[in-house]
Amino acid sequence: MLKINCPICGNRDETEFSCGGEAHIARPIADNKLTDTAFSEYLFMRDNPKGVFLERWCHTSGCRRWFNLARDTISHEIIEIYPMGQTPKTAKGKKAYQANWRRKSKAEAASKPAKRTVK
Amino acid sequence: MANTDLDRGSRALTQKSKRYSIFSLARNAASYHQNWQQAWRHADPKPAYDAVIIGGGGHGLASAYYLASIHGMTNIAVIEKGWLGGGNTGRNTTIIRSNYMWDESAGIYEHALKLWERLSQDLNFNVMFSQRGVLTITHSEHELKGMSRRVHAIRLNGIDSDILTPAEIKKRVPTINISPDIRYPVMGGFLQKRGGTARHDAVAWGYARAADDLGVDIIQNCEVTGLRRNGGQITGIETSKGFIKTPKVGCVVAGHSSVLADMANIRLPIASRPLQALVSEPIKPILDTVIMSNAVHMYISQSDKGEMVLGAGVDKYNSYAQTGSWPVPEHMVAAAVDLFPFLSRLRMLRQWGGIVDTCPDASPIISKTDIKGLYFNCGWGTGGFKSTPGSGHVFADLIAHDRPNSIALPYSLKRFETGYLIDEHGAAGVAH
Amino acid sequence: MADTSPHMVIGNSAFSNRILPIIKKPESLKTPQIELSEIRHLGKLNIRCTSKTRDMVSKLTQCNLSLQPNQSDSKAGRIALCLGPDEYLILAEQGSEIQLKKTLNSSDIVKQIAVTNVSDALCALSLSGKKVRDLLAKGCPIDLHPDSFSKNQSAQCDLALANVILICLEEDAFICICRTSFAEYVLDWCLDAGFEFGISASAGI
Repeated sequence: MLKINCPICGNRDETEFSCGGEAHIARPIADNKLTDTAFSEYLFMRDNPKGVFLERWCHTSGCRRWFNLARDTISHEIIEIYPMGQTPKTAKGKKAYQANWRRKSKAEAASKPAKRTVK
Repeated sequence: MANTDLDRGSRALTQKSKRYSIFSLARNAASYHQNWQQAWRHADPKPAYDAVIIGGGGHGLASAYYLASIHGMTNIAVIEKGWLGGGNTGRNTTIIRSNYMWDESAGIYEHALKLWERLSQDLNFNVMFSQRGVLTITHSEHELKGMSRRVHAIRLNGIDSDILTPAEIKKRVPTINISPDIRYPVMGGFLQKRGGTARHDAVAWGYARAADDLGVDIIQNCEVTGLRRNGGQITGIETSKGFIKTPKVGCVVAGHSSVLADMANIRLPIASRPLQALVSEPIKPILDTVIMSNAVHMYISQSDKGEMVLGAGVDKYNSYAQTGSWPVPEHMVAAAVDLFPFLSRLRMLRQWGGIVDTCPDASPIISKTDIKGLYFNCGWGTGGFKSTPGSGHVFADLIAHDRPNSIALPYSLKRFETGYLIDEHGAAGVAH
Repeated sequence: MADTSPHMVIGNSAFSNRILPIIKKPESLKTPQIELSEIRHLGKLNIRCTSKTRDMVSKLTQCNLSLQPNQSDSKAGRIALCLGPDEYLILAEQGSEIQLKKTLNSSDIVKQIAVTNVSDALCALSLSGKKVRDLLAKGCPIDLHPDSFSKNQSAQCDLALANVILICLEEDAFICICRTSFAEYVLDWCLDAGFEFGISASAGI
């Protein structure tokens, strides 16, 4: 039984939460030129580490807010809980974030709008 | 697939002196059972093989057996990081059926079921395959309609499936509670008579013994640490026992598939989740059918030892811990007791978990990859045990010929690019 | 002598299908140690507003919304709770919620807030007595020790299979808010779980 320290409500049992899977999956912008292969990396392919995993969770029985969580998938130790929209701050969390193949994926690159140039 | 291929494979074993029979039993009884031959060697890795299977579970051992027996590839090895059959093969609830929805699924699961029906003979090893029937019960009008559709789809593929009324269910399963007053009353069900259970460990042992007999090296306590490539071709595997040269690598490691895939920079759509099971204290025979329910979310059968074997859905977050968390069995047992009141008097003896590799469409991946000679057989999620012989058989074919046959073809990794998913969440019967 | 026969409760009640009062207790227990009743005449407003507009909303509702999540405040017959960084629940005397909503929606900040009348969607139960914490502990996994869950604290959590909001008013007095559709379930659960302590469920006011 995980005990998760919801940033809003405090320490609660895992039964109050829903896990939203891998965190930090950025959606390619609508105007993207990705191939099906590259797009499938966004849509279906997932990080699935045996070790530190960055996930997003929702406190469904409580405040219903989402947050991010770095957890070891072997020991279930929760390493860090950090706000939605931010990246991890601990060394282990940062390492997991950088090491994820998704950081180098075309789909993630396509989630940032191209810089506009003024003609 | 010709039966002659399988017959040829099983005859290969019968020529060896290790064959089990009433005569060998009598002979060994006379010598106080001290002269039984070891069922498989504990091999050390050779420097090179024609093919290597990573993963010594049921699927991996089956793949190796069919590679050797049908495709004549005997200079091969199975590499297992722990002890053979110690992963999901030894942890499942042993249910076997082929009553899935889509044509593609009928293809692979029925192929497997037909192999189950001859497996003990093929392997000269009693896998205790018991075709006691698998009954899926339904609890609402909506489910009845879905059931009807699924039964028709199953029958259109020439697979057996019969719809039962609550009264007929009660006749077959006297201990079930079909009262209309329970939380989720039984409104009907469908039965696959040819489905049932098997002794999961025996499947691993049977395949291991038969494969070893044909010359396959089974190397346990050997962990793969890297996949070596030269350009776009696999050249071998790095292991805790050294480098092994090989041009063909089949990865069959279930929950650890992403760990291996990462070694070759291959992307998979898999999430590794705990799937739990529990057994009760053994009691006299009381249930001779497998019962599954999607709505109340439990499946139950009685083992030959007399234990009630129970399972439910996966835990809802990734884990490699092989335990799972308590609320899942708690909910499942509450539902099971509603349907089978006699369970309330039983003590639950053991609980454990496996690591299941769940796919977005609850269907497996049997596929080549972008690296020549590297093949993946994974994504079976909660439904791997039932497909063991079929999975091994078509995967061996894929490895031997470097192209998927018609059964394996729909399960290519590419379907996640084309969008041709095979959604079997309903028939998987195990919530993801 | 007062009429003590059970009477059918009708009208604006979540328990209109039940005959109350119901008392569940062991023979050996003289009086129930838990009292449950519905707080029927309660207006309930869910308000979404950020810290920018919170003070204005406080002023317009005459409630103190300067609260941390899971804190509550009682003032002049109204209870305000903070459910999240930008979400509040106000419990007010019946009828007043309509005027409050009108006031908020005709104010300058109308486009920066959202007000939803949840008076009928939610049902508020009063739970009081020495054994209420023991009762709740049977189905609610939060820390209910008097030191951890005390006056003016609230929690959104699960009670058995119902999603509820618990508010601690005093050491032995709570409000349990649930969806009206779950009210009968919560009542049944409390009657069952509370039997060993003795529980009396009445119609309430």
